[in-house]
Amino acid sequence: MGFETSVVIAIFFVAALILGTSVYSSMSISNAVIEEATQSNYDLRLSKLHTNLEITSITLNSTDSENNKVHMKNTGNEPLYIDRLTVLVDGELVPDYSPDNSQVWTPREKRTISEIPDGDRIKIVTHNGISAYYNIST
Amino acid sequence: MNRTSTTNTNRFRYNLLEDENADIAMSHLIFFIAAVIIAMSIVAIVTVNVQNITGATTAGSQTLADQLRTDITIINDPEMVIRDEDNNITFYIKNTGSSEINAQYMTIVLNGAMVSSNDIRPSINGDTEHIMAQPGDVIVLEISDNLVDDERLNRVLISTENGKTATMNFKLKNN
Repeated sequence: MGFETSVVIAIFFVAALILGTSVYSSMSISNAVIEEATQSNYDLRLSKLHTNLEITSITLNSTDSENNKVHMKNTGNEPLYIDRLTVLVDGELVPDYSPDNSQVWTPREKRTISEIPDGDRIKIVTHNGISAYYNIST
Repeated sequence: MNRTSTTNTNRFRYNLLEDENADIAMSHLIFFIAAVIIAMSIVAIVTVNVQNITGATTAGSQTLADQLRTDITIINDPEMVIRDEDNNITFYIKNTGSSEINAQYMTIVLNGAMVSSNDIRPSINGDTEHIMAQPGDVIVLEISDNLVDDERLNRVLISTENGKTATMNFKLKNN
């Protein structure tokens, strides 16, 4: 083997080592980023699967039609946050409502929100997008 | 004296031209330099290509990670999507993912036709200026469009800037 062949092989070898190291570290970082995001995605899905709620009843206020109460039960296995619910009455977003007491709403616990305006159909959506409906007329 | 010097010079020239070892050394030197240049060129080309691929992979993984973290849910009541007297339809989109969403770059496809971005007015809690939706925020998209039919079941597809979509079939409720 000639000297020039040895030098060329040495150049290729060193370049392959440097490139390989660089590619490996870059791929490793990319893989870690995707793995972390996949885990986050699984957590979101798992949280959705464990979430469920039920609107048990509505208490209509005869004197103030803008201050009805909605009674709900957390029928899932995931703690919910009472102040992070979204309420829609007859398809319209209710910008403000009053939760009863503490923020965390544990499984099997019944909670009430008030200052809900009059309407025929109520939809409550949790922070992760799980919803419950209630028709007042039925 | 002069005659002797001239004879030596001629002999040296003759030796240089006739020395086969010098020929071979020069050839080897030329081959060596050429081989090193070609090898370095190949390494440079391969390095640039590999760096391009690595850069694209990094960017692709960031995009994919962003998509995996993003999730939206259309939370309108499908029985009662409101259309007001000015023909504006309001959609409520909840950020149910774990990343921020820029409401400015949302795309709406209503009954198969894309709604122009000029006809979409996004807001969050009534604010039309700061429309970066944090996880749990509800984006209100008000659109002015005549593509929705009162009588039949309509379909809307809403997409975030990174391509995460949500769809819903709905009926209208005229206010």
